[in-house]
Amino acid sequence: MNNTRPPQDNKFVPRKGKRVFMHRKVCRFCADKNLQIDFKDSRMLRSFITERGKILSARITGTCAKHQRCLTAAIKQARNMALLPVTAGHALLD
Amino acid sequence: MKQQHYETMYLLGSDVNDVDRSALSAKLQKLVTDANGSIVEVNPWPLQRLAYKVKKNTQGYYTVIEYGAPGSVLAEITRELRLDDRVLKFISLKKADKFDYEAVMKSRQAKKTETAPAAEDETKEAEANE
Repeated sequence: MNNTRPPQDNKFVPRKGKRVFMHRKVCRFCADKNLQIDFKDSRMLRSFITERGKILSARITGTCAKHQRCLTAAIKQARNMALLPVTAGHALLD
Repeated sequence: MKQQHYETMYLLGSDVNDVDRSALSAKLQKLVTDANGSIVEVNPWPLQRLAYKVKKNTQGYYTVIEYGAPGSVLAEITRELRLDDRVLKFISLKKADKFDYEAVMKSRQAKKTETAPAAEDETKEAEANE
């Protein structure tokens, strides 16, 4: 077996000179109960897709698993209805 | 018969005129009311730019109809929208398994009154900041 990684004990060793403290991201839909996930609300959904039209991962946006599932479904419904672009290549330019 | 809470949205091209659009909307509403269903809301959107070209259309009219009706009505509406060539896209969603007209209207009213005072507060705050 070609395992080149040096043996490590179970301590977290931060990279040299880099100690990044991240604020824990909070799910936007858990924080604000009035905020509904709706496929018709394309403006809200746009903040959860990239410029190319891909769905942003929950890891990036901080959305919880439950709401990420709803969000994914809503974005796909919006794509079907031509409310959101599927790819940037076919998107109409403003 | 058991009724469910549905929502249907369809897209018409920009070349469909006002009269035809309201006629189609009325036709679908009639399908619902004929089966003892009830309309919660009909919301025709203004002309909107589409995210991508659909049958050479770059703009279109969306209409959202929210209603309570038995499942057979949904099948009829789907059939109607499929047969109509002017309909570019449509989607139907079940919002709830049970439909109680009064309860739905009440909760909608409550939401409206809930959001309205909040909006007032915001404007007041904005004024205070000025």
